Amino acid sequence: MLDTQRIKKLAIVRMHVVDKLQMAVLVSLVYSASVFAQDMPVHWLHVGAMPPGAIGHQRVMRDGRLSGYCQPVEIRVSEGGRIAPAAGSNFSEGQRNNLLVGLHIGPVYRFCVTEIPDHPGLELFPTVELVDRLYPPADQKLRFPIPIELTREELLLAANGRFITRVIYLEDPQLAPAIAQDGEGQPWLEARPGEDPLVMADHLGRPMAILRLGGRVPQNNQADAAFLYGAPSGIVYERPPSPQPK
Amino acid sequence: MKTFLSTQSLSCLLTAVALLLPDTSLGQHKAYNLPPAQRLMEPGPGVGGPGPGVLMYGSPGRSSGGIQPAMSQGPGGGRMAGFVPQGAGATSQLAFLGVEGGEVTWDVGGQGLFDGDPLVMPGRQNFLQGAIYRLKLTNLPDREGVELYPTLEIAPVTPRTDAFLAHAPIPIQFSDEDLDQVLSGNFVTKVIYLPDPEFQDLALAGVETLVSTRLDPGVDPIAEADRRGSIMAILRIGNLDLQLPGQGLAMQGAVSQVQHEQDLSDPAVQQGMAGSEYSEGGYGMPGPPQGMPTSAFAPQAVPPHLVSGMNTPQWGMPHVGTPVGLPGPPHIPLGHEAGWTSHTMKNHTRVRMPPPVHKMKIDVRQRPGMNYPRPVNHVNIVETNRAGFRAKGGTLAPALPTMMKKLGACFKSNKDCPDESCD
Repeated sequence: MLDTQRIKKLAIVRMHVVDKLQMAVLVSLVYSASVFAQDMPVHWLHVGAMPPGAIGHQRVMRDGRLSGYCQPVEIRVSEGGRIAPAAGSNFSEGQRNNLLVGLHIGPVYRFCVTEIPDHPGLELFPTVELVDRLYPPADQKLRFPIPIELTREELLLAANGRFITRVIYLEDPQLAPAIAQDGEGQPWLEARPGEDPLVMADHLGRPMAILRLGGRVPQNNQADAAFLYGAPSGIVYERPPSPQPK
Repeated sequence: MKTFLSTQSLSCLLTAVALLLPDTSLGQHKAYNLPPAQRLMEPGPGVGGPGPGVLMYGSPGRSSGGIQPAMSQGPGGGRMAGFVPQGAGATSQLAFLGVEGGEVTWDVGGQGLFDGDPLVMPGRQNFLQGAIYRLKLTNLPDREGVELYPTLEIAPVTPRTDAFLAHAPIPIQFSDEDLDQVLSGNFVTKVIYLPDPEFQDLALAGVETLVSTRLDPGVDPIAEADRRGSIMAILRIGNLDLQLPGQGLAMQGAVSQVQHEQDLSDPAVQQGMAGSEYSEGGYGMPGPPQGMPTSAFAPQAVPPHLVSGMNTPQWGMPHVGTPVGLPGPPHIPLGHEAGWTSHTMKNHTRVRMPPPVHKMKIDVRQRPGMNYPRPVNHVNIVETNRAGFRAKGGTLAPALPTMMKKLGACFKSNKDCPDESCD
């Protein structure tokens, strides 16, 4: 009788141990699966270090809706600056402060920024590559251009030898902060060291354009087709009339 | 009760394992399938053709590299006639910094002449990539009479450095420390490279320079820079004088330049200097620098970026990436917007790509197996030069038929004799 009770006690203890072991295995499996999922190496199809024009051309090849569409882009320069698009083998006169220009997805467009305040004679030649388009209401695409802002700090950094890559993205409505914008400055995020700006923008929304800015100037003040990437001239729009309040 | 709990937890455990582990571990067999090899070679639907509006493989629209025939003389060209890479990355723009007022010259008309238009630092100049150039450094402030002849090697463009080289110059800095090291007899190697993201201190891409005199002994600056990023230029400076009087140019097998001086007070000379678009107070030949290619006869590196009309289709060509391979609408302003406003394509293909194989073991067995006669190890040769005895045939006449023929001939001759004289 005593032996029978002892055997039952031992069996109960054994079942406790087995249950705990099973739970431990279950927990370890769940955690290991999540760890493996985090360490999964990712190979991005498009990265920010790709040659200029590669991403846009690949996007056009894959999405027929992007081909042939003329996307308005508004490029703003710090106050007083003048920005000019390429025209033929040189640059046009340009406009002061901002420029509304229609660009295609794929080609790389070169611009000329001059008359930067407090820095006479300084010339910079950024490029803009569109990788996606907006889908505005019909006949209202000029009201919704892609804004690209060239700040004074960025221009001076580029003049000092830095190379700046700025990715303009359409934010995900689920991730957009519910903060009213004043309409003047373009909110921006700075990528951390070692972080790809294009991948970061892809996480936050839909990348629309890539701005590359450096200090290289055309040789002998003569821009050639290679320097201008052989892109067609952008269509310069007049400023659309501001909508009348109803 | 305890038994029930144990069974319940065991079933939970098995369910969790079944959800976590891949399907194959449960013994489910799935047929492995991939598209045919020909289809695997196609990059996507509508590409590879032939067909209307389809880009053929090897067409300008597909190529992002390779040798392009020269349509125009590229900046800094003149090194390889006939084939000049297109694109802004074909040349690297160098910004010479550090010693203000110093002059840099290079070869234009021939090797060792240093007849290029002097560049007063700070200044910029485009150099063709994939070549090594001999420079001449003169008029260094506070170093009267010092002339240095560094070499500058411009690395070919890579996809990693293409965006930087198309937008920013490469800084070449001659610091006082470098000049002191050189004048004291040391050899200085400076490697300018674009660091990889993990080696960048800031998110802003900026070049960094490795100097051999600042590294630990035994550390190769070129190998170290290659480990940290992509090399764009290598500057080597020593105090070798290439223009010793009477023998400097002979060291390189070049011809001597005719010495002449211009009267700078002549108004005509001053007008000619001022009228030159290249001159900034210079007196040399304008033109691109001449260097030696570092890749010998190998194809020259071509910028990988895409240039409309050069290595991509001309802008406005009526081609689109429609999956049915039909030509799309012409681009604005040649036409209007596409009438095809909606196109939906769903991919229902079940894709299950296995992970790569880490270890490979191959067992080979051929059936039927190999069966071959043993090789010859003994040869017995008997050579006989006389004919053996044979009853019929052979090289000698047989004995019995010959005797019978002789007896027959004799009997016949006796029978035909008309008188007894034949006996």
